[in-house]
Amino acid sequence: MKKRLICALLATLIFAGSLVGCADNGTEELISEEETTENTETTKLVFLRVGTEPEKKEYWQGIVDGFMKENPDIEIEYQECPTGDDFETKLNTGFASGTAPDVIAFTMASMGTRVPLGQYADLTPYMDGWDGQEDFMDNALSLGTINGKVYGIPLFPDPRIFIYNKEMFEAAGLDPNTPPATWDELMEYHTKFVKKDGDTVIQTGFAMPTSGDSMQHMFSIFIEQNGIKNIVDEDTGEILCNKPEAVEAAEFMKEIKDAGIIPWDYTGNEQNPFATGLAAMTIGTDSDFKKWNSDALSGKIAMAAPVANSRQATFCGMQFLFMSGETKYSEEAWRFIEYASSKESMWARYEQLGTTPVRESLREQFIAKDPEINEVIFESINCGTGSPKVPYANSVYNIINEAMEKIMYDVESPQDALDAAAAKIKEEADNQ
Amino acid sequence: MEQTSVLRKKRKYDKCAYCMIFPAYFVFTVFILIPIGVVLYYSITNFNLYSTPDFVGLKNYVNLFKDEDFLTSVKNTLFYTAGCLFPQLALGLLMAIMLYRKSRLIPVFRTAFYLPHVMSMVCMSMVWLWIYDPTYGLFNTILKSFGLSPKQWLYDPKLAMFCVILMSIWKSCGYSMVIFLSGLTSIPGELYEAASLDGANKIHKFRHITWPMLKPTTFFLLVTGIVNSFSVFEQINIMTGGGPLNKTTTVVHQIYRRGFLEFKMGYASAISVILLIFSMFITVCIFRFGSSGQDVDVS
Amino acid sequence: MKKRKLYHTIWIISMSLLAIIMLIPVIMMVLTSFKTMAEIKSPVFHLIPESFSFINYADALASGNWGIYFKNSLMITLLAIVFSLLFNSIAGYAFARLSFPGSKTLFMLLLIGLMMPPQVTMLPTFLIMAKFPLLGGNNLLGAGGTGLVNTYAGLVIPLVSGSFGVFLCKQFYENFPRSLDEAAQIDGTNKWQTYFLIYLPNSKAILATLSLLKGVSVWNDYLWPLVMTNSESKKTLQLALTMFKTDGLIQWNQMMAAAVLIVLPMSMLFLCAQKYFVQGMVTSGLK
Repeated sequence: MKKRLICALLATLIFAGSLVGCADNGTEELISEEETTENTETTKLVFLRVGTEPEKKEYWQGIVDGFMKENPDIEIEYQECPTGDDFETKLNTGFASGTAPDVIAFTMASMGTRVPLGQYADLTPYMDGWDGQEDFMDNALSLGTINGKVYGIPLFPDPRIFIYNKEMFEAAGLDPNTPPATWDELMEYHTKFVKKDGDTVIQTGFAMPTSGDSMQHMFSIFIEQNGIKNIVDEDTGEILCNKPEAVEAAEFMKEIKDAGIIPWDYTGNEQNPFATGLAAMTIGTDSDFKKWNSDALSGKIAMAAPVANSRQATFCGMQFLFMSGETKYSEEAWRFIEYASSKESMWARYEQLGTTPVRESLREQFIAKDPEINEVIFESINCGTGSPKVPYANSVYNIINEAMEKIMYDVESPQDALDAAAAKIKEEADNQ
Repeated sequence: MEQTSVLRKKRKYDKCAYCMIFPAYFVFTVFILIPIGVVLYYSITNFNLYSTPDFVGLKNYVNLFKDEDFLTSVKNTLFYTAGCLFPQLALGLLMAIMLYRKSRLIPVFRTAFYLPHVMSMVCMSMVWLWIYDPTYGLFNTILKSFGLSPKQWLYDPKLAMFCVILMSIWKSCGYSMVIFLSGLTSIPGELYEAASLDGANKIHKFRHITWPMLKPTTFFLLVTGIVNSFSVFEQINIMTGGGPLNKTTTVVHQIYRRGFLEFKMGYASAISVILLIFSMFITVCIFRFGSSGQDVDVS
Repeated sequence: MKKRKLYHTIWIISMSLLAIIMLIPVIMMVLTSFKTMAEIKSPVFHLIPESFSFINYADALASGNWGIYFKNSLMITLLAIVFSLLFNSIAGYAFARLSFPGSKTLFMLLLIGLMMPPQVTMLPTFLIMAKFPLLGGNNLLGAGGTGLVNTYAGLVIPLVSGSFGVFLCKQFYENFPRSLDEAAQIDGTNKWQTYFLIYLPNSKAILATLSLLKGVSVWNDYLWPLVMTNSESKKTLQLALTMFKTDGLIQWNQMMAAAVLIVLPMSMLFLCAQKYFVQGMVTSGLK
């Protein structure tokens, strides 16, 4: 019996030993790093950014290195994580276990839920004497503001811009220099492009998704063009998604769909038929435009000001730099944020990554680089509204996405679907 | 003879068994059982991933049965399981039997059948999106070349689930094949030799030797297959995101959405507990049902 | 004899057909890895790329520290295979062949591990990892450090428990002829010896199967490494694949090229493991 016990013990010991061995490697690294940091009395900050693209990583490495050179007392550990649900998961586990990063680069859509939970720190106290307070575009700064308090410093603007295919316009006998400006024109152009093979649409005018996680962006764009502020009014908490103008917007989207579109899922922006030349118009981001313009559609596409029904409006996403509400080194974290949003860093962002700068002082310089395109981008950022920053925002997205799918698939009329959505949002708001 | 009768009679307990299961059980307890306990606890609170959870009693469970999306997801999951499991097992068994022989081509075929299971789900889901694409996808190209009208596949609420099921069968039948193959190796060759001497044909051999001897394997595949199908998530998340019209949303997709995207961890935990109870119920049923034919004793 | 040959031809043809159908998506993936992005984005779908150049492979490999990622994935997979084989097969043997009070209950309890989707237990498991006492700078109460986060141990340990493996081994050992045990009993060997001297050498097929399945699942695991690691030095291959995904654009050609390379080691493992499937173990073991 003893022998057996010893055997079992040995097996577990070997296992535990080897694993602890591996763990030790890890901890040794950590400990040795900590020791060196203690010796020179440096503070270690963790910076986590959304996305894993090599070129952005290179940019951030440059920023981090530059910052550490200027501030030898601070050491920045750079981390990255894929965008989307993965990033949410990463942040959730980080905050839940108390190992959240100190500085976070993430989207505006996360603010609604994470600010009330205290995960993002209020940056207003640090902004006195910061040159960005005056210089940043008002709309950009206000997108990062909730109840008068600034939580995020704008980093990568992500405006939705009307993009059209000049070559297809010419082929259809339309003037490639006059894109549609109103809903009626959009509808008229759209129907001109629709081509069918039996029941299947093989070419379409306006490329619009019919399902997916970001249908609410499309919906936001159209309701805002029809005079509605947002899906939910952030200030008063009023639910606006079933106002008559909003319903009208949904009806218009449905009309476009009924006239004939190629279905795609907004989650996989990849599948946008515009990218393959099967659609003549779409709404995309400035980076979408640059990407398509460097691909097969090079030189054939152009940007236009947002379409309007009652007013010109579009959706503008934004990536911000946030400071963790749990950080122990808020002063140091702010110094890093300041460095990364300085004029020089921002211009480097444009030169390396093509990111639109959001400081007024860079406006002329930016537009001069490519007057035709950059002016539209800059203006779109200026008139863009973002996702509603309410604590139950994530539920709002799901509810609206679901309602839009019901409308697109003819299950419910726009009025019914949006009424039901409003009731659900109300329930969520009451549960808070 | 004497020895065996003694063996049967005394039914001594083997204490060393506890040592043998200890390493696996220890890791299981710390990293699976305790977390499950934590999930049980979350399910009766309003935990939102950060703040200290408050006790809410059975509210989450009560809300569950009023939640349309949840009920749809249950229906979809059951449909997926039914549609996926049997073709996958049948195809796996067929392939295993066809490939349980000696031939120079065997490694080629086996690799071909097993390869889908090795591929990363992300890449394969994407390839299948191309296959299903309504405008230039492979399926519609084939349909068109036969003069049939093309379909919307993943964008058609009626077809979407079938598309996901087809993809899943493709992905996992190689896995069934491998397990069936390992089951086949445990059948003593003497049985077949004896049967051949008795003049049994192939069908007889299958019915009276292969099939009964494969019972533990089939049983294993049935249990793991059901449980795996109940927790289908990855391909759904990539290919359809639960849509269109929630026609492909599954239980785990709902858990993920509620818990990690809407931060209602308490509610999501309640769904998980229901899933767990249901899985356990089904497993126990299969064990009861399966145990009648389980004790195939060769000696 | 003629009939036999006919059967064989039919067999080859039908198997080849099935194999081709099964391989279509894989072939599409390989072909995509040779295409240019313009070809992928073209509205007309071309199966065959215009030219077969390895530029995507070169680009993909140049865009990251693939040596490190490969080493990490390999380490994790090997550790997980070795430990889970050992632990699971021995526990499977105990459940299949030994009688002890509570064996049924313990086994059913173990099966719960199969039923809980990993997405659900991920958070509590991560908390346990991060608060693991005395490791990674943690004190006895689990505070102060990062525990097993960002270590190989943290990545591997939850993967070795393996309800699946124990269940699989149990089912397999139940088919072993009982006469083997009885013979061992007569020889006076104890249970450990029975396992190590008789069962283990005869379970090549099941061990090959288990290591294959474990290897594939660990190799392809994405969610757990995602939350457990946070530095370049612990990144795995599956995590690295996401670097071809930008906000709107996915570099499909490079991603598929990398994916093809990532799949190769597992395909090799399968080729190596499969020869054990044909070795009818009981026949050779008994005679």
